[in-house]
Amino acid sequence: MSQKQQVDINIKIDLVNLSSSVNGSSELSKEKMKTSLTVSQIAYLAKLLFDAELIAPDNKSEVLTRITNSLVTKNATQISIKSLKAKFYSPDPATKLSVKKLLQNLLDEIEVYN
Amino acid sequence: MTYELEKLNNIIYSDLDKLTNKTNRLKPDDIDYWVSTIDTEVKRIKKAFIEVAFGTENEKQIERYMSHHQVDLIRLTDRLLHYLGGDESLKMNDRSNDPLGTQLLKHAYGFLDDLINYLENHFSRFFNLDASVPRSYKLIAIRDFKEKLECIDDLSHARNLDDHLLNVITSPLRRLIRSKEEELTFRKLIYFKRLVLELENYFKTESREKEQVQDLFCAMIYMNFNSYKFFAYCTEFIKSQYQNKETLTDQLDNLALTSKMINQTQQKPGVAYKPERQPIKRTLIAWIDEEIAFLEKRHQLTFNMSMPQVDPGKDFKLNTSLSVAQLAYFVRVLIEEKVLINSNQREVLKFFAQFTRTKKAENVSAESLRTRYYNIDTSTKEAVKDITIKLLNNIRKKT
Repeated sequence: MSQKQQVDINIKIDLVNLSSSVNGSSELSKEKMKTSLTVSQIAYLAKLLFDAELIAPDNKSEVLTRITNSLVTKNATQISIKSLKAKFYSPDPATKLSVKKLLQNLLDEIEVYN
Repeated sequence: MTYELEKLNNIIYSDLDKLTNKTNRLKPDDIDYWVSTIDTEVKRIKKAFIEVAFGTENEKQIERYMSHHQVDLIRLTDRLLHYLGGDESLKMNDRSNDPLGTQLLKHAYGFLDDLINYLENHFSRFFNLDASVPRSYKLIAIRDFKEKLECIDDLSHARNLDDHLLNVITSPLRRLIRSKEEELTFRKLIYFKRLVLELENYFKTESREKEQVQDLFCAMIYMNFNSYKFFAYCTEFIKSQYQNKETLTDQLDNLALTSKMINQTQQKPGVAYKPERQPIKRTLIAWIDEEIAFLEKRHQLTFNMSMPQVDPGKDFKLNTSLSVAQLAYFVRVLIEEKVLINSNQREVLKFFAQFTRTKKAENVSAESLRTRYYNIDTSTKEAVKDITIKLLNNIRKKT
Protein backbone atom coordinates (compact mmCIF):
# COMPACT_ATOMS: atom_id res chain seq x y z
CA MET A 1 0.00 0.00 0.00
CA SER A 2 1.44 3.38 -0.93
CA GLN A 3 1.97 6.07 1.65
CA LYS A 4 -0.68 8.30 0.04
CA GLN A 5 -3.31 5.55 0.28
CA GLN A 6 -2.43 5.04 3.92
CA VAL A 7 -2.90 8.71 4.61
CA ASP A 8 -6.33 8.78 2.92
CA ILE A 9 -7.55 5.79 4.90
CA ASN A 10 -6.31 7.23 8.15
CA ILE A 11 -8.14 10.48 7.50
CA LYS A 12 -11.43 8.54 7.36
CA ILE A 13 -10.69 6.70 10.60
CA ASP A 14 -10.14 9.95 12.46
CA LEU A 15 -13.08 11.91 11.15
CA VAL A 16 -15.11 11.82 14.34
CA ASN A 17 -12.29 13.06 16.53
CA LEU A 18 -11.44 15.85 14.17
CA SER A 19 -14.80 17.28 13.22
CA SER A 20 -14.93 19.65 16.16
CA SER A 21 -11.46 21.05 15.61
CA VAL A 22 -11.94 21.49 11.86
CA ASN A 23 -15.36 23.10 12.19
CA GLY A 24 -14.16 25.02 15.21
CA SER A 25 -15.66 28.40 14.24
CA SER A 26 -17.45 28.70 17.55
CA GLU A 27 -14.18 27.95 19.31
CA LEU A 28 -12.37 30.46 17.15
CA SER A 29 -14.78 33.26 17.93
CA LYS A 30 -13.83 32.87 21.59
CA GLU A 31 -10.13 33.27 20.73
CA LYS A 32 -8.69 36.69 21.42
CA MET A 33 -6.01 38.54 19.52
CA LYS A 34 -2.98 39.36 21.61
CA THR A 35 -1.46 42.76 21.00
CA SER A 36 1.54 44.64 22.27
CA LEU A 37 -0.41 47.92 22.03
CA THR A 38 -1.88 49.67 25.06
CA VAL A 39 -5.61 50.43 25.33
CA SER A 40 -4.95 54.12 24.52
CA GLN A 41 -2.99 53.14 21.40
CA ILE A 42 -5.73 50.72 20.27
CA ALA A 43 -8.34 53.44 20.73
CA TYR A 44 -6.35 56.03 18.81
CA LEU A 45 -5.44 53.62 16.01
CA ALA A 46 -9.14 52.70 15.67
CA LYS A 47 -9.96 56.41 15.47
CA LEU A 48 -7.40 56.90 12.71
CA LEU A 49 -8.80 53.94 10.77
CA PHE A 50 -12.32 55.38 11.05
CA ASP A 51 -11.16 58.87 10.06
CA ALA A 52 -9.35 57.49 7.01
CA GLU A 53 -12.50 55.46 6.18
CA LEU A 54 -10.57 52.21 6.18
CA ILE A 55 -13.28 51.01 8.55
CA ALA A 56 -16.79 51.99 7.46
CA PRO A 57 -17.99 54.74 9.83
CA ASP A 58 -21.43 53.16 10.44
CA ASN A 59 -21.92 51.65 13.86
CA LYS A 60 -18.79 52.85 15.63
CA SER A 61 -20.11 51.70 18.95
CA GLU A 62 -20.50 48.10 17.82
CA VAL A 63 -16.99 48.08 16.39
CA LEU A 64 -15.55 49.39 19.67
CA THR A 65 -17.49 46.75 21.62
CA ARG A 66 -16.14 44.08 19.30
CA ILE A 67 -12.61 45.38 19.85
CA THR A 68 -12.99 45.05 23.62
CA ASN A 69 -14.25 41.47 23.16
CA SER A 70 -11.55 40.49 20.67
CA LEU A 71 -8.31 41.99 21.91
CA VAL A 72 -6.15 41.41 24.96
CA THR A 73 -3.27 43.69 25.83
CA LYS A 74 -0.29 42.89 28.03
CA ASN A 75 -1.91 44.78 30.91
CA ALA A 76 -5.60 44.08 30.32
CA THR A 77 -7.12 40.68 29.66
CA GLN A 78 -10.51 42.40 29.46
CA ILE A 79 -10.62 45.87 27.98
CA SER A 80 -13.36 48.04 29.41
CA ILE A 81 -15.65 49.59 26.79
CA LYS A 82 -15.97 52.73 28.88
CA SER A 83 -12.22 53.20 29.01
CA LEU A 84 -11.82 52.47 25.28
CA LYS A 85 -14.52 54.97 24.34
CA ALA A 86 -13.00 57.65 26.57
CA LYS A 87 -9.59 57.15 24.98
CA PHE A 88 -11.14 56.97 21.49
CA TYR A 89 -12.72 60.41 21.80
CA SER A 90 -9.92 62.10 23.82
CA PRO A 91 -6.51 60.79 22.75
CA ASP A 92 -3.61 62.25 24.73
CA PRO A 93 -0.46 63.69 23.07
CA ALA A 94 1.79 60.84 24.31
CA THR A 95 -0.47 58.25 22.67
CA LYS A 96 -0.50 60.22 19.42
CA LEU A 97 3.27 60.29 19.47
CA SER A 98 3.61 56.55 20.17
CA VAL A 99 1.11 55.63 17.41
CA LYS A 100 2.98 57.93 15.06
CA LYS A 101 6.19 56.04 15.92
CA LEU A 102 4.39 52.73 15.40
CA LEU A 103 3.17 53.75 11.94
CA GLN A 104 6.66 54.92 11.02
CA ASN A 105 7.94 51.47 12.07
CA LEU A 106 5.27 49.81 9.90
CA LEU A 107 6.34 52.00 7.01
CA ASP A 108 9.99 50.99 7.55
CA GLU A 109 8.92 47.33 7.60
CA ILE A 110 7.06 47.79 4.29
CA GLU A 111 10.08 49.51 2.76
CA VAL A 112 12.32 46.66 3.88
CA TYR A 113 10.08 44.23 1.94
CA ASN A 114 10.30 46.43 -1.15
CA MET B 1 38.08 64.20 -3.11
CA THR B 2 40.81 62.73 -5.33
CA TYR B 3 42.03 59.34 -6.43
CA GLU B 4 44.83 58.50 -3.99
CA LEU B 5 46.29 55.34 -5.50
CA GLU B 6 47.87 56.86 -8.61
CA LYS B 7 51.44 56.65 -7.27
CA LEU B 8 51.01 53.13 -5.81
CA ASN B 9 49.51 52.08 -9.12
CA ASN B 10 52.60 53.31 -11.01
CA ILE B 11 54.99 51.71 -8.52
CA ILE B 12 53.30 48.33 -8.73
CA TYR B 13 52.44 48.20 -12.43
CA SER B 14 55.63 49.80 -13.70
CA ASP B 15 58.54 50.03 -11.23
CA LEU B 16 58.09 46.76 -9.34
CA ASP B 17 57.25 44.91 -12.54
CA LYS B 18 60.57 46.02 -14.07
CA LEU B 19 62.61 45.61 -10.88
CA THR B 20 61.46 42.11 -10.14
CA ASN B 21 62.14 41.04 -13.72
CA LYS B 22 65.79 41.91 -13.09
CA THR B 23 65.99 40.33 -9.69
CA ASN B 24 69.71 39.72 -9.78
CA ARG B 25 70.55 43.40 -10.10
CA LEU B 26 68.62 44.38 -6.99
CA LYS B 27 70.69 45.45 -4.01
CA PRO B 28 69.66 45.65 -0.34
CA ASP B 29 69.77 49.47 -0.68
CA ASP B 30 67.20 49.29 -3.48
CA ILE B 31 64.91 47.30 -1.23
CA ASP B 32 65.29 49.92 1.53
CA TYR B 33 64.52 52.71 -0.92
CA TRP B 34 61.36 51.12 -2.29
CA VAL B 35 60.14 49.96 1.11
CA SER B 36 60.57 53.49 2.45
CA THR B 37 58.85 55.01 -0.65
CA ILE B 38 55.85 52.70 -0.35
CA ASP B 39 55.67 53.18 3.42
CA THR B 40 55.60 57.00 3.01
CA GLU B 41 52.93 56.73 0.32
CA VAL B 42 50.76 54.42 2.43
CA LYS B 43 50.99 56.83 5.38
CA ARG B 44 49.96 59.71 3.08
CA ILE B 45 46.98 57.70 1.78
CA LYS B 46 45.83 56.90 5.33
CA LYS B 47 45.91 60.61 6.12
CA ALA B 48 43.94 61.39 2.96
CA PHE B 49 41.27 58.82 3.96
CA ILE B 50 40.90 60.50 7.35
CA GLU B 51 40.59 63.93 5.75
CA VAL B 52 37.84 62.72 3.43
CA ALA B 53 35.96 60.91 6.23
CA PHE B 54 35.99 63.93 8.51
CA GLY B 55 35.79 66.65 5.90
CA THR B 56 32.88 65.40 3.76
CA GLU B 57 29.29 65.72 4.84
CA ASN B 58 27.71 63.57 2.17
CA GLU B 59 27.94 59.98 3.46
CA LYS B 60 27.09 58.53 0.04
CA GLN B 61 30.13 60.28 -1.42
CA ILE B 62 32.38 58.93 1.35
CA GLU B 63 30.97 55.44 0.81
CA ARG B 64 31.63 55.61 -2.94
CA TYR B 65 35.12 57.01 -2.37
CA MET B 66 36.08 54.32 0.16
CA SER B 67 34.53 51.56 -1.93
CA HIS B 68 36.46 52.57 -5.08
CA HIS B 69 39.72 52.72 -3.15
CA GLN B 70 38.99 49.37 -1.50
CA VAL B 71 38.33 47.66 -4.85
CA ASP B 72 41.45 49.21 -6.37
CA LEU B 73 43.64 48.24 -3.43
CA ILE B 74 42.44 44.66 -3.82
CA ARG B 75 43.26 44.82 -7.53
CA LEU B 76 46.79 45.98 -6.66
CA THR B 77 47.33 43.20 -4.10
CA ASP B 78 46.13 40.70 -6.71
CA ARG B 79 48.69 42.13 -9.13
CA LEU B 80 51.49 41.68 -6.58
CA LEU B 81 50.37 38.12 -5.97
CA HIS B 82 50.45 37.57 -9.73
CA TYR B 83 54.16 38.59 -9.74
CA LEU B 84 54.83 36.41 -6.69
CA GLY B 85 52.90 33.34 -7.84
CA GLY B 86 49.78 32.10 -5.99
CA ASP B 87 51.59 29.72 -3.62
CA GLU B 88 53.50 32.58 -2.03
CA SER B 89 50.27 33.89 -0.48
CA LEU B 90 50.48 31.04 2.03
CA LYS B 91 53.97 32.07 3.21
CA MET B 92 53.76 35.84 3.02
CA ASN B 93 55.41 36.36 6.44
CA ASP B 94 58.38 34.11 5.71
CA ARG B 95 60.92 36.19 3.76
CA SER B 96 64.23 34.96 5.15
CA ASN B 97 65.23 32.66 2.28
CA ASP B 98 63.58 34.60 -0.54
CA PRO B 99 65.51 36.35 -3.32
CA LEU B 100 65.60 40.15 -2.95
CA GLY B 101 62.92 40.69 -5.61
CA THR B 102 60.47 38.39 -3.81
CA GLN B 103 61.29 40.06 -0.50
CA LEU B 104 60.48 43.46 -2.00
CA LEU B 105 57.16 42.21 -3.43
CA LYS B 106 56.23 40.68 -0.07
CA HIS B 107 57.05 43.96 1.71
CA ALA B 108 54.86 45.85 -0.77
CA TYR B 109 52.10 43.29 -0.30
CA GLY B 110 52.31 43.73 3.48
CA PHE B 111 51.83 47.51 3.15
CA LEU B 112 48.80 47.13 0.88
CA ASP B 113 47.26 44.47 3.09
CA ASP B 114 47.75 46.81 6.05
CA LEU B 115 45.96 49.56 4.11
CA ILE B 116 42.98 47.27 3.36
CA ASN B 117 42.84 46.32 7.06
CA TYR B 118 43.02 50.00 7.95
CA LEU B 119 39.98 50.70 5.75
CA GLU B 120 38.13 47.73 7.26
CA ASN B 121 38.91 48.66 10.87
CA HIS B 122 38.66 52.45 10.79
CA PHE B 123 35.93 52.93 8.22
CA SER B 124 33.96 49.72 8.74
CA ARG B 125 30.68 51.55 8.07
CA PHE B 126 31.85 52.33 4.54
CA PHE B 127 33.64 49.03 3.93
CA ASN B 128 32.06 47.21 1.02
CA LEU B 129 31.36 43.66 2.21
CA ASP B 130 30.06 42.72 -1.22
CA ALA B 131 33.40 43.38 -2.92
CA SER B 132 35.58 40.41 -3.86
CA VAL B 133 38.25 39.51 -1.33
CA PRO B 134 41.94 39.67 -2.35
CA ARG B 135 43.09 36.52 -4.11
CA SER B 136 45.44 35.71 -1.23
CA TYR B 137 42.54 35.71 1.27
CA LYS B 138 40.73 33.29 -1.00
CA LEU B 139 43.71 30.92 -1.30
CA ILE B 140 44.21 30.94 2.47
CA ALA B 141 40.47 30.37 3.05
CA ILE B 142 40.46 27.45 0.60
CA ARG B 143 43.43 25.84 2.37
CA ASP B 144 41.79 26.27 5.80
CA PHE B 145 38.34 25.09 4.68
CA LYS B 146 39.87 22.03 3.02
CA GLU B 147 41.57 21.01 6.28
CA LYS B 148 38.47 21.64 8.37
CA LEU B 149 36.13 19.83 5.98
CA GLU B 150 38.28 16.71 6.15
CA CYS B 151 37.88 16.80 9.91
CA ILE B 152 34.12 17.41 9.67
CA ASP B 153 33.76 14.51 7.19
CA ASP B 154 35.48 12.14 9.61
CA LEU B 155 33.32 13.23 12.54
CA SER B 156 30.21 12.93 10.41
CA HIS B 157 31.05 9.34 9.37
CA ALA B 158 31.74 8.46 13.00
CA ARG B 159 28.26 9.67 13.86
CA ASN B 160 26.57 7.94 10.91
CA LEU B 161 25.09 11.21 9.76
CA ASP B 162 23.31 11.11 6.40
CA ASP B 163 25.97 11.81 3.72
CA HIS B 164 23.45 13.63 1.57
CA LEU B 165 22.62 16.06 4.39
CA LEU B 166 26.30 16.76 5.00
CA ASN B 167 26.84 17.33 1.27
CA VAL B 168 23.91 19.74 1.12
CA ILE B 169 25.27 21.77 4.02
CA THR B 170 28.89 21.79 2.91
CA SER B 171 28.28 22.11 -0.85
CA PRO B 172 29.00 25.90 -0.98
CA LEU B 173 32.38 25.26 0.70
CA ARG B 174 33.19 22.30 -1.55
CA ARG B 175 32.24 24.35 -4.62
CA LEU B 176 34.62 27.10 -3.51
CA ILE B 177 37.44 24.58 -3.03
CA ARG B 178 36.76 22.90 -6.41
CA SER B 179 36.34 25.98 -8.56
CA LYS B 180 39.00 28.59 -8.02
CA GLU B 181 37.07 30.98 -10.28
CA GLU B 182 34.06 31.07 -7.92
CA GLU B 183 33.58 34.65 -6.69
CA LEU B 184 34.22 35.15 -2.97
CA THR B 185 33.07 38.37 -1.34
CA PHE B 186 33.98 39.56 2.15
CA ARG B 187 30.39 38.90 3.25
CA LYS B 188 30.50 35.33 1.93
CA LEU B 189 33.90 34.67 3.48
CA ILE B 190 32.68 35.88 6.89
CA TYR B 191 29.59 33.68 6.53
CA PHE B 192 31.61 30.59 5.52
CA LYS B 193 33.97 31.03 8.48
CA ARG B 194 31.00 31.20 10.87
CA LEU B 195 29.38 28.22 9.15
CA VAL B 196 32.50 26.09 9.58
CA LEU B 197 32.76 27.19 13.22
CA GLU B 198 29.11 26.28 13.79
CA LEU B 199 29.65 22.84 12.19
CA GLU B 200 32.73 22.26 14.34
CA ASN B 201 30.74 23.18 17.46
CA TYR B 202 27.90 20.89 16.40
CA PHE B 203 30.23 17.92 15.98
CA LYS B 204 32.01 18.68 19.25
CA THR B 205 28.71 18.58 21.16
CA GLU B 206 27.27 15.22 22.15
CA SER B 207 23.88 14.59 20.57
CA ARG B 208 21.55 11.62 20.85
CA GLU B 209 21.30 9.69 17.57
CA LYS B 210 17.58 10.33 17.28
CA GLU B 211 17.99 14.07 17.69
CA GLN B 212 21.17 14.66 15.73
CA VAL B 213 19.42 15.62 12.48
CA GLN B 214 17.09 18.02 14.33
CA ASP B 215 20.09 19.50 16.17
CA LEU B 216 21.87 20.06 12.88
CA PHE B 217 18.72 21.68 11.44
CA CYS B 218 18.65 24.02 14.46
CA ALA B 219 22.31 24.92 13.94
CA MET B 220 21.64 25.68 10.27
CA ILE B 221 18.50 27.71 11.08
CA TYR B 222 20.62 29.64 13.59
CA MET B 223 23.06 30.34 10.75
CA ASN B 224 20.13 31.18 8.41
CA PHE B 225 21.48 28.71 5.84
CA ASN B 226 18.81 29.60 3.28
CA SER B 227 20.00 27.47 0.37
CA TYR B 228 17.33 25.94 -1.89
CA LYS B 229 18.93 22.50 -1.53
CA PHE B 230 18.78 22.70 2.26
CA PHE B 231 15.16 23.89 2.14
CA ALA B 232 14.31 20.92 -0.10
CA TYR B 233 16.09 18.51 2.26
CA CYS B 234 14.27 19.91 5.30
CA THR B 235 10.83 19.75 3.68
CA GLU B 236 11.43 16.17 2.51
CA PHE B 237 12.53 15.25 6.03
CA ILE B 238 9.51 16.94 7.67
CA LYS B 239 7.20 15.28 5.12
CA SER B 240 8.64 11.83 5.81
CA GLN B 241 8.26 12.40 9.55
CA TYR B 242 4.63 13.48 9.51
CA GLN B 243 3.51 11.00 6.84
CA ASN B 244 4.74 8.19 9.08
CA LYS B 245 2.03 9.08 11.57
CA GLU B 246 -1.04 6.92 11.41
CA THR B 247 -3.88 9.38 11.89
CA LEU B 248 -4.56 12.83 10.54
CA THR B 249 -4.62 14.17 14.10
CA ASP B 250 -1.14 12.80 14.70
CA GLN B 251 0.04 14.20 11.37
CA LEU B 252 -1.28 17.67 12.20
CA ASP B 253 0.14 17.36 15.69
CA ASN B 254 3.55 16.43 14.29
CA LEU B 255 3.52 19.38 11.89
CA ALA B 256 2.43 21.75 14.66
CA LEU B 257 5.23 20.48 16.90
CA THR B 258 7.80 20.88 14.13
CA SER B 259 6.51 24.38 13.44
CA LYS B 260 6.80 25.23 17.14
CA MET B 261 10.37 23.91 17.29
CA ILE B 262 11.42 25.93 14.24
CA ASN B 263 9.67 29.03 15.57
CA GLN B 264 11.51 28.69 18.88
CA THR B 265 14.91 28.26 17.25
CA GLN B 266 17.07 31.36 17.48
CA GLN B 267 18.41 32.94 14.32
CA LYS B 268 21.72 34.78 14.40
CA PRO B 269 20.87 38.43 13.68
CA GLY B 270 22.12 39.91 10.43
CA VAL B 271 23.48 36.62 9.11
CA ALA B 272 22.37 34.82 5.95
CA TYR B 273 23.88 32.51 3.36
CA LYS B 274 21.94 34.40 0.67
CA PRO B 275 21.02 37.79 2.17
CA GLU B 276 18.69 38.63 -0.74
CA ARG B 277 16.49 35.60 -0.01
CA GLN B 278 13.85 35.05 2.69
CA PRO B 279 15.24 33.57 5.95
CA ILE B 280 15.13 29.76 6.07
CA LYS B 281 13.07 29.95 9.27
CA ARG B 282 10.32 31.93 7.55
CA THR B 283 10.20 29.74 4.43
CA LEU B 284 10.02 26.55 6.50
CA ILE B 285 7.21 27.89 8.70
CA ALA B 286 5.32 29.03 5.58
CA TRP B 287 5.79 25.60 4.02
CA ILE B 288 4.47 23.85 7.14
CA ASP B 289 1.49 26.24 7.27
CA GLU B 290 0.68 25.37 3.65
CA GLU B 291 0.98 21.67 4.43
CA ILE B 292 -1.39 21.97 7.40
CA ALA B 293 -3.84 24.03 5.34
CA PHE B 294 -3.72 21.45 2.57
CA LEU B 295 -4.39 18.55 4.95
CA GLU B 296 -7.34 20.36 6.49
CA LYS B 297 -8.72 21.39 3.12
CA ARG B 298 -8.43 17.89 1.67
CA HIS B 299 -10.09 16.54 4.76
CA GLN B 300 -13.02 18.88 4.26
CA LEU B 301 -13.30 18.18 0.53
CA THR B 302 -13.08 14.42 0.95
CA PHE B 303 -16.01 14.26 3.31
CA ASN B 304 -17.95 17.26 2.07
CA MET B 305 -18.36 18.44 5.58
CA SER B 306 -21.07 20.94 6.25
CA MET B 307 -19.87 23.89 8.20
CA PRO B 308 -22.36 25.23 10.69
CA GLN B 309 -24.48 27.93 9.08
CA VAL B 310 -23.72 31.35 10.40
CA ASP B 311 -26.40 33.95 10.19
CA PRO B 312 -24.62 36.96 8.71
CA GLY B 313 -27.28 39.28 10.05
CA LYS B 314 -26.51 38.33 13.60
CA ASP B 315 -22.75 37.90 13.34
CA PHE B 316 -20.61 40.97 13.61
CA LYS B 317 -18.32 41.87 10.74
CA LEU B 318 -15.95 44.76 10.34
CA ASN B 319 -16.60 46.59 7.06
CA THR B 320 -13.32 47.67 5.55
CA SER B 321 -12.39 49.49 2.39
CA LEU B 322 -9.18 47.43 2.15
CA SER B 323 -9.03 44.66 -0.46
CA VAL B 324 -8.36 41.09 0.70
CA ALA B 325 -4.75 41.35 -0.52
CA GLN B 326 -4.24 44.66 1.31
CA LEU B 327 -5.82 43.26 4.47
CA ALA B 328 -3.54 40.19 4.31
CA TYR B 329 -0.44 42.31 3.84
CA PHE B 330 -1.47 44.78 6.55
CA VAL B 331 -1.94 41.87 8.99
CA ARG B 332 1.46 40.53 7.95
CA VAL B 333 3.15 43.85 8.68
CA LEU B 334 1.39 44.00 12.08
CA ILE B 335 2.67 40.50 12.87
CA GLU B 336 6.19 41.25 11.62
CA GLU B 337 6.26 44.43 13.67
CA LYS B 338 4.98 42.44 16.69
CA VAL B 339 1.86 44.56 17.13
CA LEU B 340 -0.10 41.29 16.98
CA ILE B 341 1.70 38.78 19.16
CA ASN B 342 -0.35 35.57 18.93
CA SER B 343 2.05 32.66 18.51
CA ASN B 344 -0.14 30.95 15.90
CA GLN B 345 -0.36 33.14 12.83
CA ARG B 346 -2.88 30.81 11.14
CA GLU B 347 -5.32 31.57 13.96
CA VAL B 348 -4.80 35.29 13.43
CA LEU B 349 -5.65 34.92 9.73
CA LYS B 350 -8.71 32.82 10.56
CA PHE B 351 -9.78 35.52 12.99
CA PHE B 352 -9.59 38.27 10.36
CA ALA B 353 -11.29 36.05 7.78
CA GLN B 354 -14.18 35.44 10.18
CA PHE B 355 -14.72 39.00 11.30
CA THR B 356 -14.00 41.08 8.20
CA ARG B 357 -16.05 42.05 5.17
CA THR B 358 -14.46 43.87 2.23
CA LYS B 359 -16.27 45.84 -0.46
CA LYS B 360 -15.98 42.95 -2.87
CA ALA B 361 -16.07 39.97 -0.52
CA GLU B 362 -18.92 39.47 1.91
CA ASN B 363 -17.08 36.44 3.28
CA VAL B 364 -13.31 36.50 3.25
CA SER B 365 -11.96 32.97 3.08
CA ALA B 366 -9.09 32.09 5.40
CA GLU B 367 -7.48 30.26 2.50
CA SER B 368 -7.49 33.30 0.22
CA LEU B 369 -6.21 35.48 3.06
CA ARG B 370 -3.40 32.98 3.71
CA THR B 371 -2.44 32.79 0.01
CA ARG B 372 -2.24 36.56 -0.20
CA TYR B 373 -0.36 36.72 3.09
CA TYR B 374 2.53 34.81 1.52
CA ASN B 375 2.30 36.12 -2.06
CA ILE B 376 2.36 39.88 -2.01
CA ASP B 377 2.39 41.84 -5.24
CA THR B 378 4.02 45.22 -5.71
CA SER B 379 0.75 47.13 -6.14
CA THR B 380 -0.52 45.78 -2.79
CA LYS B 381 2.69 46.83 -1.06
CA GLU B 382 2.40 50.29 -2.59
CA ALA B 383 -1.27 50.59 -1.61
CA VAL B 384 -0.58 49.61 2.03
CA LYS B 385 2.39 51.96 2.08
CA ASP B 386 0.14 54.81 0.83
CA ILE B 387 -2.48 53.97 3.47
CA THR B 388 0.13 54.04 6.25
CA ILE B 389 1.44 57.38 4.98
CA LYS B 390 -2.15 58.68 4.91
CA LEU B 391 -2.63 57.63 8.55
CA LEU B 392 0.65 59.31 9.49
CA ASN B 393 -0.40 62.50 7.71
CA ASN B 394 -3.70 62.46 9.59
CA ILE B 395 -1.79 62.38 12.87
CA ARG B 396 0.47 65.21 11.74
CA LYS B 397 -2.54 67.33 10.77
CA LYS B 398 -4.07 66.87 14.21
CA THR B 399 -0.97 67.48 16.32
